[in-house]
Formats: sequence, structure tokens, C-alpha cells
Amino acid sequence: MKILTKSIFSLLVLLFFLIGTSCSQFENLFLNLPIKKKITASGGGPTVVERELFCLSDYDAYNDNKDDIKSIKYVSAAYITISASPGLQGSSLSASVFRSDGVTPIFSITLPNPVAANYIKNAYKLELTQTQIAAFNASLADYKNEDCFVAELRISNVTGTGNPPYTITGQIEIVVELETNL
Amino acid sequence: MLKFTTLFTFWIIIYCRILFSQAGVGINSLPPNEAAEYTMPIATWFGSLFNSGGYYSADVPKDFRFKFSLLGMYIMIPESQNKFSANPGLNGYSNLGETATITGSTGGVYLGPDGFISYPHGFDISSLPAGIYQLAGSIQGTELLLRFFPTISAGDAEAGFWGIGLKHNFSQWLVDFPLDISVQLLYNSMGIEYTGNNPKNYVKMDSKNFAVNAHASKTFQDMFIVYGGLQYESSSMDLDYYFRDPNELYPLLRDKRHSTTVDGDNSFRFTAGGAIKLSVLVINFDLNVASQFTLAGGLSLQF
Repeated sequence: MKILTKSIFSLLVLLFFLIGTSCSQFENLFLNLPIKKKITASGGGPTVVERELFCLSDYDAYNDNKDDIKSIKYVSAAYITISASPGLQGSSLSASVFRSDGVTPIFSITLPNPVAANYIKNAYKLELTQTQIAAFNASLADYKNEDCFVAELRISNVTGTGNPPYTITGQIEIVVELETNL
Repeated sequence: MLKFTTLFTFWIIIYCRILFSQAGVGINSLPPNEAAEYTMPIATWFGSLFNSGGYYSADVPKDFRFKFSLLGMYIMIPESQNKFSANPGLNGYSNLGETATITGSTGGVYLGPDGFISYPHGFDISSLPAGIYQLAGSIQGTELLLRFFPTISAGDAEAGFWGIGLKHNFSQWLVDFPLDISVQLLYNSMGIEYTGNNPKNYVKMDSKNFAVNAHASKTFQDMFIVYGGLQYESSSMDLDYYFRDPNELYPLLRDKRHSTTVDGDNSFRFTAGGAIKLSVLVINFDLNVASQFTLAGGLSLQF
């Protein structure tokens, strides 16, 4: 009878140990959150610029897990032109993101080619420096107090084949990673 | 005992709830063809689970016998099932590379002509245990096995399952044959459905698992049993879910419910194990070489 009791006990201990071990694997879950913000800028020049506010709380993946988030990290960013006035170009075309105050810069990237149409159906990866990534991550870490940012699209010394006003609709895309508790 | 049995079986429901409430985020972000790839290891896992524990002996007496068993399985998910080739079916998004399945680790983030496509991460797990119970009754060398758990709610999901098995001892027809040999058919079905308030989180999985095996056993001193068998098995899972399209790349598919069928990777399994019979109590343990290597243990009362 002792052998029987020991055997049953050992089996149950082993089983619950295995189950317990596996349960611990369910502590964290990582989620990719793609943020896609369209900006339409229009004007006669010489600079055409527009800003749009975007917030993490605009997105389901953030709202669904808001109470369980442990951290948010920057993953990648890109720019794409959705549409533009014919021949629209400038001396520079830049995509920028600021903190919600609209003053504190996180990153500003000048695209290599200032012709807007070159980025239609041809997304361009915005390569952030380590300093810019650190600044972005610092802002993301403060998500409980402020989850909004300002995106800016700017073309300097704008020209086009037609008459002004010149219009461009671009999209700044950012992927962030949420680490959540289960 | 009833409480223990309920708790034991409840593990599977708990896992399903976790998978639902959180993995739903992953499934809901994929178009149907990729949702099927993403969830394939779980379809296979259901097969590994329900196609385990069907026997610990090929001996089926001619007299009436009743068995009640608690089964525990520790199912290991191979590395090869932790990733799949991303293939979103969009112009300019080909040859992207690999991304995580639901059991994998890191979801890929790829840039195509229309912007980013980001894939969901997985749970980064290499094994998943589970427990179920079953009843069996036999007479005239033929055994009927039943598994049943009523549909219950746990959090924002409800789940239930049932299974049936039929086995016949063919060695009873052979004179002085040194082994017991039986053939068994198994069919198990499990349903899980999101029942929360957010229609965007909707996911429903219906898993169907079939197995047929031939197994043999030898009993020594009416106490020790050595057994083994070869089994063909299949699993499939009907998946219904709401597609959110967080990447904004599928305007025609987004914000609708979609259905797809996921085929598990189950095919053949080789089982080898042993059991100790102590009066009405039988303790068994077996190794299952299959698509997902499985350790199975059981505690049975046999009258």
C-alpha cells in the first residue's frame, strides 16, 4: 500500500509540476502595434507643412491591453506617399514625429529624393539613429501620462507642374511592440 | 474526487481561455490563409492531446469491465512548428521570410510597397500540458470509451469537448497467442468560442480528431503491463474569427468574420509504455513519438 501511495503521489506531483512549469510560460505576451497616420498638407509654398496628432489609444491592440502593458518599444518606421499634386517636389521632403507638445522632437528624417511621387507604392524605411530610438522609447515609456504624439510632413521650396495650391497626402508608419502581462 | 476531476480537466479550459483572450489578438490580425498557418500548432496540439491515452493494455475481457481514468499529457511542440513563411498574398510582399506561429516567438515586421505588414508574436512555448478524464466499459472483448466535458464558460470564452472510442481484442480469437492485440478507433471533438462583448475579438475553434490504432500488450504476474502500438491519426480545426486588419492592407477583407479550416500536422504515432496494476488501480505512463512528442500518464480505477 505504501508503494501505491508513493506512486500516485509521485505521478500527481510530476503532473502538476509539469503543468505549473508550463503555466509560467504564459506570463508575458508581446504584441506588434502598427501605427499608420495619414497627413494631408496643402499650400502655395514655399513651404507646405501639416501636422496631425496620433495617439496609442486610437488603436485596438493598445486599448484592449492597456491595463496589462509592461513596456512599449519602438520597432521600425516608414514613409509612403498616398497621393500628390502632379510633379510635386521641393528642395527637401521630411517626415518628423514630436512629443504631444509639438515642440520636443523625437525624430526628423529628410528623405533622399524630394519628388513626392517617388514614394507612391514605394514605402521608404526611416532609419532612426540610436539617439532618436532612445528618445522615442523614453516617450513611449511615459504612455500612462501621455500616449499621444505629433506627426509632421514638410516640403520646402515646393514646386509642381501645375498651379498652386500644391497638395500631398503622405503616411508616416511606426511599428511599436507592447509587452503585456497575461 | 469530483472536485479534483473537475480541476484536472479544467486545465484544458484555462489554457483555451488564455489562448483565446490573448491569442485572439494574433488571429484577428491575420487574413484567413495566414490565420490558418498561425494556428496550425494548436490544431496539431488538439490532435496530440485527444489522440493520446486511448489504452494501456490490449486486454479486453469477455466479462463486463468498467474503467474510469484521469489522463495527463505533456505535449512538446517542435521548433519546426514555431514559425511559418509569411505569405500575405499582396503585390510586392513576396519572399518576406519567416514569422512566428501561435507557439513561436517573434512576429515578423516587413516593409512592402504599401507600407508595413507586421505579424503577431507567438506565446514562445515549447510544451503544453493538459488533463482529461474518460470512462470505458467493455464486454465480450469489445470496449466503448467515452470522454465528455460540458460546455462551460471561463472568462470571456466557453469550451467543451466529447470523444468516443471503440476497441476490439482480436487476440481472443487466437489460441494461445502470447500477446494481447487490439484495434481501436477514436474520435474527439472540442469547441471553444469567444463569448465576450467585443465583436472584434470573436474567435471560434472547432477541433475534430480521428485516430485508428493497433496495439499490443503483455501482462506479467497479473500486475505489470508492457504495451505499445502504431496509430494513424488526423486532426482539423474549423476557425471562425473577426479580421481587424491592423496593417490596413486588406480593404476587401477587413472588419468581417472569416472562416478557414486548419489541418493539423498529425499523421502517425508510435506509442510505448508500461503500467502497474494494483488491485483496482492502474497507473500507466507512455511515450508517444508523433508530430508533437507526448508524454502521457494515467491513473485508472478498473472494476
